[in-house]
Amino acid sequence: MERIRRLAYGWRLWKGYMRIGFLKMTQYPADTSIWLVSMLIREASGFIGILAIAGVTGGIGSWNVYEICILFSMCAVIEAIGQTFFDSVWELINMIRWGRLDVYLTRPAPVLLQVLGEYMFFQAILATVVYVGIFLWAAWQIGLSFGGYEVLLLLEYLVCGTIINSGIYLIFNCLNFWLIQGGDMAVLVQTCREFVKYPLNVFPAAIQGFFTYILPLGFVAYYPAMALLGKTDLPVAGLMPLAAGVVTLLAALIWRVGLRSYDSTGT
Amino acid sequence: MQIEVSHLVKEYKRKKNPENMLAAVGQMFRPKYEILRAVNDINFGIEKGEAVGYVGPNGCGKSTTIKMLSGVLTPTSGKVLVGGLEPTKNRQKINKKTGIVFGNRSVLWWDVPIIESYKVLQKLYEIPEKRFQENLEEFADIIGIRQLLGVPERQLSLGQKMRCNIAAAFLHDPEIVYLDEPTIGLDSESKLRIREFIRQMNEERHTTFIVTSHDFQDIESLCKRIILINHGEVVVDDGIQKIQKNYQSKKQIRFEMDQNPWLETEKFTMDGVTILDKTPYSLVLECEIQKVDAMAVVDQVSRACQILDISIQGQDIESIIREIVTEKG
Repeated sequence: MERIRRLAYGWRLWKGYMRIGFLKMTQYPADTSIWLVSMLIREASGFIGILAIAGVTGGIGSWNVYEICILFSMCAVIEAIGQTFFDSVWELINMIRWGRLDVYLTRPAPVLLQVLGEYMFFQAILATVVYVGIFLWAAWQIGLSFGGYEVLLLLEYLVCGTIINSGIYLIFNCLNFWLIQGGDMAVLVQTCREFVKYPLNVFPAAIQGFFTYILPLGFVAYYPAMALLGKTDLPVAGLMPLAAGVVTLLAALIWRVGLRSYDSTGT
Repeated sequence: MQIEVSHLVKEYKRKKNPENMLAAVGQMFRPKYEILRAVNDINFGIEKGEAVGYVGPNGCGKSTTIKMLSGVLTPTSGKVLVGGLEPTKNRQKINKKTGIVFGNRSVLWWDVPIIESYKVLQKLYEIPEKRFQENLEEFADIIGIRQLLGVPERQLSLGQKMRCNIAAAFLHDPEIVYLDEPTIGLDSESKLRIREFIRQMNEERHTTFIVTSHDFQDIESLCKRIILINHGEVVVDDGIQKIQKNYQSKKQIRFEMDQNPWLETEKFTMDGVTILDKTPYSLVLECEIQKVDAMAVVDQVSRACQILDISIQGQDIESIIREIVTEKG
């Protein structure tokens, strides 16, 4: 009973934070439109590059142009969802440095919930719409049919992919609890993430293994895309929650240890 | 006892400063630490409804103590009980009944109207809608924020921001409120309003206050009791009036007279009395009350000339505290 009450409390609070995020977006209409245009140009440049290569060679590995579009957009959707709701993990460094965590620690709500709720970035939802459009267009081009299995798989990918992606960001941003420049490590991870926008099987086995077992970012888009396109016999539907579970446990553990070692700056 | 602190100790580990470049490189791999004792065996108790000034020089351990009371920091040893509970183990439970004001930091959301921030706080502290509206209505006039509720925080002045933050700390009817430098950098009008509001909360709602401030007008107008700490230890813990009585060492007497017999001399004719200022028609003396009685001084002056006006002033609490700190430091 108490657990349900806490959950309901967390949800009400989360809605409150979403309201703030939404109001922020509407407070600065000029910023919002500039951000949207720059985001589209940035993502389009990467997209056009890979399409050009695939167009010349007819594909990458066993992946044709439309399949690559599907992988690319699936990867981008997860990142955009993360930007919308969980972008605050990147602010952890400043929260620790300027002692803003003190404020959260003096309030009667879980600290992580308050950290995550601090910044929501609803502009990124607009980006999601664009990526979903690309996904649907590519799926239509190769005549992908959507039955119950595909829809369930996509829902699972959205949930697990977001957990894995944002969970890994959280883990590495937690390094800020111990290091002065822990953020650099997290940025490095984000840069590595560029790999998983491409079909992993074109890379050496070591890289494939790394993104499957060590930093399971392959489960954000690559494996679910393969399952969706019928390119693998692996039980991806079962592996995704497993990877998400492991990441969640690790993130929760590191967060706890980090928060315990937090000695606020002495002002 | 609402707040109980016994044998409280907090130590920080700090990286040692390397002596030279070579040592600096060496320390990258094997850091050397030194232990810093910020709070050293502190004891005190605070009753419900008390207003206590927690004072001391910079870096004396004030903030560290407050952070241990609010559960932000875990004590190295010793015990803290707030409402009978340990803050670090019951943080969320205790936080629901406490409020905190950081003078150098806002807890509201910068980009959105104040009322929107308050609505998030309402959800955070689970304040019933009716109570929320009543409090808002009451605070709006006392602390003067009615016109500010619809304005985003980024457009407010420092004083307005602080008033909004102070009201925010009281929305959930806290039993204890920690005020960390609540009037730092504010103009006198804002200071007055804030003090008035806090005093009213203390009298009408019996909210317990712990105020840390370097502004002794804050302390004097809000608190009846002072806990002075220095180098992490309690130096004095007593009522303000008692401190003034016990530690008062000097009094100032100002005379206006028809002519000043001491105009040409440097020294006053009594031991323990020094001349602070003199003009042909006035004289300001400072007397050490252990050595000489103020009335005897007045007597002496009245024999030498005709006194037109006189005023006697005790030391203010700020200078008394300063003397205690320098003497015992």
